[in-house]
Amino acid sequence: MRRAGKAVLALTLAGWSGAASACVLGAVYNLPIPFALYASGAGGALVVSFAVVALVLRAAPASGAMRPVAPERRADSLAAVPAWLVETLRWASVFGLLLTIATGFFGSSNPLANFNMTFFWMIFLLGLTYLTAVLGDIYALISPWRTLCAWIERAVPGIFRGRLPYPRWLGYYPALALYAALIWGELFGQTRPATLSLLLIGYGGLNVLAAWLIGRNAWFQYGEFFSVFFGLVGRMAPIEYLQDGAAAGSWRMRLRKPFVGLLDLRAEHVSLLLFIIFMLSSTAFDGAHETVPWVGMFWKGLYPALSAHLVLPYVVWVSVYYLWQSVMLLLLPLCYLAVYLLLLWLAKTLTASALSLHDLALRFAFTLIPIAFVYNVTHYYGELSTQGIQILRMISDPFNLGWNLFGTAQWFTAPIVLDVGTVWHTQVALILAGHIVSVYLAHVEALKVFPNPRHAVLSQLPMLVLMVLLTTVGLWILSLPIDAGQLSAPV
Amino acid sequence: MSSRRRVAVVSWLLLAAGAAPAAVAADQGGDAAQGQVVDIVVHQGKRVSGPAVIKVQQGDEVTLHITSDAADEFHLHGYNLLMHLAPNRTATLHFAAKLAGRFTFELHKADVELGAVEVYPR
Repeated sequence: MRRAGKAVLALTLAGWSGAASACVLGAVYNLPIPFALYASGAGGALVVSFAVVALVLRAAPASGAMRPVAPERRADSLAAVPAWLVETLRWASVFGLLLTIATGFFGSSNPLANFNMTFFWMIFLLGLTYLTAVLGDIYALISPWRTLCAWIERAVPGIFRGRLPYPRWLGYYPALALYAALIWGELFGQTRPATLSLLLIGYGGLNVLAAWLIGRNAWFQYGEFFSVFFGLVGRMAPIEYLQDGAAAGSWRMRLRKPFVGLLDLRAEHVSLLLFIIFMLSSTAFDGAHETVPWVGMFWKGLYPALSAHLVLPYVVWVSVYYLWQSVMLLLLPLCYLAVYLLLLWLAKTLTASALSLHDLALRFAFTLIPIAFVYNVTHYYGELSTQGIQILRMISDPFNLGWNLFGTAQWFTAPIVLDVGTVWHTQVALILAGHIVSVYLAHVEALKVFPNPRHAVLSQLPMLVLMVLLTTVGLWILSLPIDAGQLSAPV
Repeated sequence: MSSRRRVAVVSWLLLAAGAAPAAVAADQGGDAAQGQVVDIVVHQGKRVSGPAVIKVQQGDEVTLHITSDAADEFHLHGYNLLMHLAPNRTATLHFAAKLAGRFTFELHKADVELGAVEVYPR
């Protein structure tokens, strides 16, 4: 019976197993950053943190309540976003989605050569994220899913008014679950172009069904995870978009100071805090999961212990290894959350704050976004520069039929290798920049949360530890040696 | 021993000491042309001998000897070097590590990542 169970387990896991390659697209030729750079980056984070504390202490009045810093609003900066521009971009967005689906079925089966993989993973998921940090949440205006729902609603009025009220307790968990599924797919899904097309069709169907069931507004606020993700990133941008109440479908925009969008509102639900934590932890996981110490945790720690009691074929252990990696992807955010809550609890204790830990955790959640963002940029900008740029070549021949529509079909035929020194210094500089912004935002938030200046400064000590910790971990991951041939020679 | 003789002996010793490294260099002359030489043996789609990570400095010459028990195609990413592997025949890939970075190498047919060449900037 036990043997039969093992055989079933072996077959199941072997069938489920991913293969050696973990990254969804192409190779990135980054070397781990040298220890000296890592150490100077971490040291820089400490120095910057103390500089911020010193500035805060100098700026703090000797007594009396400190005035919360309100985001700056200038009514004269309000401007209408041209309706023709929004409409054109919506059409382009839907066209891009349809082309992505079509090329997945009818283009090259090679993921690296197919338009749809590069367009979705690089241009949409990375490029649009970085564009959103600069231009604001343009996805809210031009999302292809929203646009398709709007077109359906035009044809069938009232179809998306919702059949069931959205349960408040569910919060952003649907978006978080979809986000986790996307990251799992990216790392271990071995997605092929045709599979991606099927998934996009399925996701479109899910959006329509969910919008029909709980209403379009509720679904796109809590469930459609690209909306949640780009909405959070867009809060850093110096441009804000507001739907014009007077005219349906028209938008207005206004300028604001960079990052103040993160102070406008607080996270309204624990699930949104978890979403932000997952933004941090999933990128950290992606950076760490192929490094020597991480891979060694399984092959040098768990594997010898388990294989001493459980005799299984090697191929099954490979599957167990991937299962372990997946479990760790889901457990890592809980570790980040535990550290975040522990340090906030310290802040609460130091200041004897009457606010609950739950309340504090939600109030400071948005201050983590700049660090999460720079984690993302430092980890993925190499891929965007080497593989993402291939889209210029692919748009000339999206179906791999030998076309040269825009005369770019022969561009970038040789692999692009970025200068290692530039990559290293950019990574450290970006991580430090994110650190400075997050430390500053946490300070501004503390001034709002703790009216007493002494308490505000005291509360910042654990928050500083948190930020330095996050920054150091980010740098440390970048400095770790990367494992090679892990599945060929596990021990 | 006269002082002239002592000088002669010391001179010979010095010459010998100077010549020794030259002799070693001459010995390595063949390898110096090949640069860092690495032997990799693949059995049933797994690397059973040879390092997983080959670390070199930018500009070094690198020679990889790969022996596989099955026909396959060896691919070094980044440099985009491809080499056919015949069963149980050692194939040699020689290149100058001009690009700095981390470049994985794999077997296409077995779909296995064998290792990586890490080229560090000087």
